[in-house]
Amino acid sequence: MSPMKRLSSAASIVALVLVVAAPVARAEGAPAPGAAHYAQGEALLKQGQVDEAAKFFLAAARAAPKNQAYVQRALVLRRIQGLRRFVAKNELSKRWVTSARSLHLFYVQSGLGPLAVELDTVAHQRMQNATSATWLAEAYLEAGQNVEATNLLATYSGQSPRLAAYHALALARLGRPEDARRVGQRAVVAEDADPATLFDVARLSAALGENEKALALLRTSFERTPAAALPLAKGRARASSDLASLAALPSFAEVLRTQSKVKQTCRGGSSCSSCPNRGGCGK
Amino acid sequence: MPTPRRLFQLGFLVLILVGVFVVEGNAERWCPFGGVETMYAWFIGGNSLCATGITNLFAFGAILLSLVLLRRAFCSHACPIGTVSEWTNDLARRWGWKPKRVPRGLDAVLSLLKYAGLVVIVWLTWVAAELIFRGFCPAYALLGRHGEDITMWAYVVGGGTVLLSLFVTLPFCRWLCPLAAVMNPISRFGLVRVTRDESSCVSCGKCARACPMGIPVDEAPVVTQARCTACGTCVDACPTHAGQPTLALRTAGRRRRLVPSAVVAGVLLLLFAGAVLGSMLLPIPSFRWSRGELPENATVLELSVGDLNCRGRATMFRYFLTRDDDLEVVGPLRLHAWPAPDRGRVEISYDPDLTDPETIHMALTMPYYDYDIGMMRMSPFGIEGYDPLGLGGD
Repeated sequence: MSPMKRLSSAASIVALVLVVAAPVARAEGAPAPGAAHYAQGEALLKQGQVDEAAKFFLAAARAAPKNQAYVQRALVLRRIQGLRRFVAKNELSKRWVTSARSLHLFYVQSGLGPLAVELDTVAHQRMQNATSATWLAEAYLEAGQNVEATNLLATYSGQSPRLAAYHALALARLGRPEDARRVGQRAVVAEDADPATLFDVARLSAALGENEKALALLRTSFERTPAAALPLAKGRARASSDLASLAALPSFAEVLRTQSKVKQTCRGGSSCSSCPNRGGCGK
Repeated sequence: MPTPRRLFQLGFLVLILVGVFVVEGNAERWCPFGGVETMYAWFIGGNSLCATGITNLFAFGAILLSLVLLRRAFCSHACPIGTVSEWTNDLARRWGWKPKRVPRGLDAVLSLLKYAGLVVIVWLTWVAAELIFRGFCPAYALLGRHGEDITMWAYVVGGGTVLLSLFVTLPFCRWLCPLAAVMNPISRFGLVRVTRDESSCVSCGKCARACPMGIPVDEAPVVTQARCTACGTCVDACPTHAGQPTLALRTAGRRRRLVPSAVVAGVLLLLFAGAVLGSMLLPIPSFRWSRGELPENATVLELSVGDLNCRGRATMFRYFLTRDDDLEVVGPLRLHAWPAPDRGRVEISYDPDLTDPETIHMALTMPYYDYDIGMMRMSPFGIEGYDPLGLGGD
């Protein structure tokens, strides 16, 4: 082969590689369809603008209908809008309580404290019981309204360890550690305490500087949290300002690796092999 | 010229392979052992186990009938493991490898393994409500399309069966097959038997040596052993065919009519066709649930549902249908589900005065707050023709 022909062949190969690689390179550099809408939706949601956020999530899902994250977020926001409408329009009933509870949990887990306070104030006016007080106290704490929380819990904190923990936590946040310790003595967790109570008492312990106790409670809370909800629970632990004093401890990272010990009930799956309820499907 | 049995084997294996790998059907739905495994759950609770359904019960029913008529002819004609094992052994013979004869005592002891296996499998399956044997089944390794449920053990058992078949005839069928353990007690009373005319028998022993199941055919006038698969290999090996054959498949009883191998194949074919037809004519749901008394004007909503593929998913479907938030479907309900790979089918009967199809569609597809796990649970179900977000895709 002559040098010219070799040069020509080499040039052809280089050209071919460039032709093939160019669109790939462009695709890697270009933003994914719907990404901007999705980011905008998240930003609006953080500001508590649920309806506006829903529009952007829907636009993201329409731009990339195969993107399950976008579609699921759009569906969740559509659901939240439905719940908001239902809660706003209807009177107290079993369905109203269930719907309000779903909405409350979404707000709290999404860090939407002010919206949670708005909802739970109405819920507590209607329900006037320890459950609604728990919701409202949780909402106040999420929104950083510690004074309102202590005012509310002055009446209710004796009704459950969780309410006592909320009360003590609010007091600790207000710089009243002695009062917090006194009230916190009522936050005695039972042997079979639920993970939410354990988590809240762990927050209180951490706020009072009882790090070892806080870590032990947190570990038990994670162990009692179903596997599907564990990432969410750990995310809340990482983000919690009450647990910030633990973040620097090596044992905190170890606690965050805790696995769930909950045997899950079967709600289906495409395959038994990865089913967390393996062996319990028919029960 | 291939015998009718060989043609049946080939045709049936091709049918299964095309059905699984070309049409992408689910062989598991037709597994007769699945029928054994699901029987308890189906008759006690009215719902099938795991990914099984009424088709498994029909397949098992067809095999029960075939046992009564043709003994274990299913094993020698249709079972893909039997076919692969037998052909592997044939191949070894062509290479000049003679199959090893297993001593009778050892054969008898090894044969007990399948009964022990059956007890363990059925007990574990009923206790765990899961198809335990699927993880070890060589047929599933062959026909499971390398799905994630297939464990390494299934390939080990499958590969071991093929390897062992080079040296021993039908090792899995003789010693390990749990379905054979179910079939044997019934097979003993099967209508068709290999009979030997002692007056014309020259006692050459070729029949016994040819029997792939290790039956001493030359020792009694009638083969009564439950493990006989009516394959006719002994009949073909018999050297005396002048006039009335010395060795032949005949009906039991006084008349002892000759049963040509084509008839065996034909009857099997009819039984399997009957099972398919039966499951089509009697589409009994694999999953049933109801709440309250339906009124006379109850309406039935039929849906084609994506990802409704097993009992677990049917349970999850019911979970969404019975949600208690603002999308609650109120009033009496009846759910009949036919889970199937990729897309299942359901019939939901409801009171039209209390609810409507739109509410049902929304209840089934919109996320629902799961208080047990404390988070929003997404519905995995896609309902054909219903697009909750109006995305316009699939």
